[in-house]
Amino acid sequence: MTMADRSEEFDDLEGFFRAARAETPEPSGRLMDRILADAAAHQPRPAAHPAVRQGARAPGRRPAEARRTGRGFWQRLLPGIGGPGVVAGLACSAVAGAWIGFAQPAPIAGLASQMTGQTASLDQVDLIPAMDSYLTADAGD
Amino acid sequence: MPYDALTEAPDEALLVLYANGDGAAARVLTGRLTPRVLRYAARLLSDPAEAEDVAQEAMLRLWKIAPDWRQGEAQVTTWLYRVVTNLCTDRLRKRRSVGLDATPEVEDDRPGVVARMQEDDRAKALQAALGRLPERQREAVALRHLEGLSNPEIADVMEISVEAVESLTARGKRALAADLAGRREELGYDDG
Repeated sequence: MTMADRSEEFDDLEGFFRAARAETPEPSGRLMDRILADAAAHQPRPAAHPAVRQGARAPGRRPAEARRTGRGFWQRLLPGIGGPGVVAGLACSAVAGAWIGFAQPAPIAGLASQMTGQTASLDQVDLIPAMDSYLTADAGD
Repeated sequence: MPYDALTEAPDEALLVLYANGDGAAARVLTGRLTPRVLRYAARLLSDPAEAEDVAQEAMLRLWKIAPDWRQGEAQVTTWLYRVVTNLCTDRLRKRRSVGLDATPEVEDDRPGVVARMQEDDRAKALQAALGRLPERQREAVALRHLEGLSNPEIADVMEISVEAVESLTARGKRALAADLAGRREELGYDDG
């Protein structure tokens, strides 16, 4: 086969492709309905969806099961306070605060000294000086 | 978001809206993507009923993956073409395993074809010839010459290199040309 023959064949092929592109199956209304029904059935429900507020339950999960696992409460609470990431951050801060309070690492004690002008450990720093006198006065009454 | 604005939105944005509970986004995506998915499935399977099933299954997988869709990683259409390719491959494999023909013969030998020489007959002849191609060549040729994808896009869909795509389409076209060569006259290519 010569190059010219091959080129002619491929030109013909383009004619076949053009004809095939022009003849395309259109989706039937029934197929579109089936696909839209699937979309509705699998669409995620937003946490603050009105149906949830009105007490309607999500398909596939029974209220008793939700109560038993406790997930219903957390699923409603978490989005309200910013999601699991925010809760993790809060928990981390709380643990770090407790640790600093108990361990009193030297850099923190130094910082406290600079800020308060006292060379005392953190448990002796009086952060609310007026509170003692208030409590004393209150106890005295 | 107003429906008119949705029709202008890219596929990926619509998928995110759908995942956030926007029902109108699902309607726009269905109207936009289903014809392409159905057309490609029909090219690979040569069976309209099976192609409809594949189109529905592919769209169902799209709805299911929507909440976990990683933005910017792949185009929605590329992902869908890949899903359709895999679903069709499974179906063709099952056909073979139960002893059926790899592709049902498309009716392309009706009397009167020679006289009418219509585009319709050329389309049917091509579909029949496509059905006789090896699967990977059929996928590459259909994506390139019927769906209009670029070679890098086809490489993404088929998860092969661009060079492999070029090789598959070249071999596929050669085989198609040889297959259709005997029918050039009756389909109106040697009129003079």
